[in-house]
Amino acid sequence: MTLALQILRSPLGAAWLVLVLATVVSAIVGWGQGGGAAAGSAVLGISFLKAYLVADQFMEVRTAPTWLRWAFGGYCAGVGGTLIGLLLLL
Amino acid sequence: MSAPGGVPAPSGIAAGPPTAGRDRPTRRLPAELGAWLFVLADLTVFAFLFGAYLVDRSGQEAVFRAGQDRLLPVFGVVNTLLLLTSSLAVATAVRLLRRGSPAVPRLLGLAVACGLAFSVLKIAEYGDKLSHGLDPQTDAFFMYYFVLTGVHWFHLACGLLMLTGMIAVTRRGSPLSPHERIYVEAGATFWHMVDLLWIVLFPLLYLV
Amino acid sequence: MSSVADGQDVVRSASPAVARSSQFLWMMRFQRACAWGGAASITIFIGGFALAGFIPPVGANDSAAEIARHYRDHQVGIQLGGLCFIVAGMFYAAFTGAISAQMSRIPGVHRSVHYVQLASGAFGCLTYLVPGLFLEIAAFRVDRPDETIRMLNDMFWILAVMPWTPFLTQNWAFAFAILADRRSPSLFPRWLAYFNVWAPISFAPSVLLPFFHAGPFAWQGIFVVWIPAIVFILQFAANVTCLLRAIADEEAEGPQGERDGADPCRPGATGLGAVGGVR
Repeated sequence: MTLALQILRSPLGAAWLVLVLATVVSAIVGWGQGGGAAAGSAVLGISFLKAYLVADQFMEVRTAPTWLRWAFGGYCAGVGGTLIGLLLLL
Repeated sequence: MSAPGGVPAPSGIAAGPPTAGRDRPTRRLPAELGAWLFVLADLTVFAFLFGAYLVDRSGQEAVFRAGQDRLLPVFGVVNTLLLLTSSLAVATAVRLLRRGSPAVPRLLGLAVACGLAFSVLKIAEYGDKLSHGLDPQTDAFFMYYFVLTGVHWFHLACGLLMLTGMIAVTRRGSPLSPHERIYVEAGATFWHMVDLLWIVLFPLLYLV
Repeated sequence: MSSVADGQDVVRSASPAVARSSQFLWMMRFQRACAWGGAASITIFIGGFALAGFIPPVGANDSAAEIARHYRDHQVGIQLGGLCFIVAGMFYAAFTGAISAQMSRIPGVHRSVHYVQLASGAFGCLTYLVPGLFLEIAAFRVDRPDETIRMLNDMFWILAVMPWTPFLTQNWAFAFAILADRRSPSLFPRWLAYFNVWAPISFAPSVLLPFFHAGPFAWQGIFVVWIPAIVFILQFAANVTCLLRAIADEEAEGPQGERDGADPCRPGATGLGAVGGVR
């Protein structure tokens, strides 16, 4: 159990907790019908923030060369933005 | 090395990646360039898959809503938590690997267990859909549902194979050669990508 | 050595070393031509589609009348396109050979890796030849019933788009050899291995095309034809470029096999025990 506690107290564990919370929040926001495009956009937005957090902390992009940080940031912002745009405009 | 004040500096997992000095961490590419090109290429294709889903959905909203109604988000939430936990285990294992901890193969084993649990749930979910006569050719929604989750699961299966290899390499206890280290880090990177893809895929299919 | 590089006749009374080096140069030229065959292969392959009016592809859900009209309107183009595919396959064989030749310069790579690359590449040539012949058959007589023409069209498209498996084993064997190269600098850049692992995976969605006549997973869909086509082109560009660099490296090395008494150009040279390797 000591290792598990150590992990939870580490930056990685903190990131995991944030991700779990964000998962629960987005599930609540998006559950069921009638949420509409606004709820959908919020859910997608949260999911891309989660994706960036996974890259940043778990994949060690945070300490990776700058081009990779830009690539992941660009991906999450660009793809996330495009999908939200598609959701809202189409 | 101890921090000012006599409190021992964080070690093991609580410590960050190796630092050159106190102020600025050295920038380091985990694994190697090719692994990241692979990941970025795969992410790009998945981006097109996500986009195609939303474009097709806009033309047939009723069909997609009806299909989504047949899904059980609880499956997706549990699967997300399983993958997040597995990623935590893998990321921790990679950090500890640098310090030669014996917990590494156990953590990787936990990740494999999570991946297998995901697979069992996925099979159960597919079985449930198929038993109700819903298959990839039922309608556009279920085409995307089966293809997207199927392609994702295929990536997960490859990731499980890689994790197994990583366990074999790290279980020996002896220090890893530079190429073995690259292999372990590349495998970890791939596994995190599998997690990352599901993080977007689950809300897209089940919630949005 | 460079004085005989411009292809002057080797005088019979010249030393054996000069004769061997001229032979070496001709061998390098052959190899280089084979490597450029890769560029020729992909260019002619795409050209074949263009000549046949298949950019963009006809749809799997097009009616028999529409397909038949396409074949009648583009008969000559389709016949030329079919020839293009057959020629592209020929160049692909040469390209495969050049890959094997350079792979053999990586020390420690087992012959099974070479055999898989070579055999898969040969297998892959069929994926050019057979669809090309089907186009010839389809365009041979365009006064056939519309439905018959559509069936022949189905045969072309499924054969042209679906077979990705030869490329998987070929590319993965090549990638395996690249990653097995522990030298620094390695003969091929390591990222090329990762690209050759990923590229056939991007072709894999073609397994879905039997199940869909319309949409993104049909033979005309983005994930079955467009993305794989773009990746295929990029893959050729990367492989040909790196192959030419590897050949330049061999040219710079010169016929050093002479030193060990082993001619690296002889048939069966595996690289094991040759230049840079362990005896």
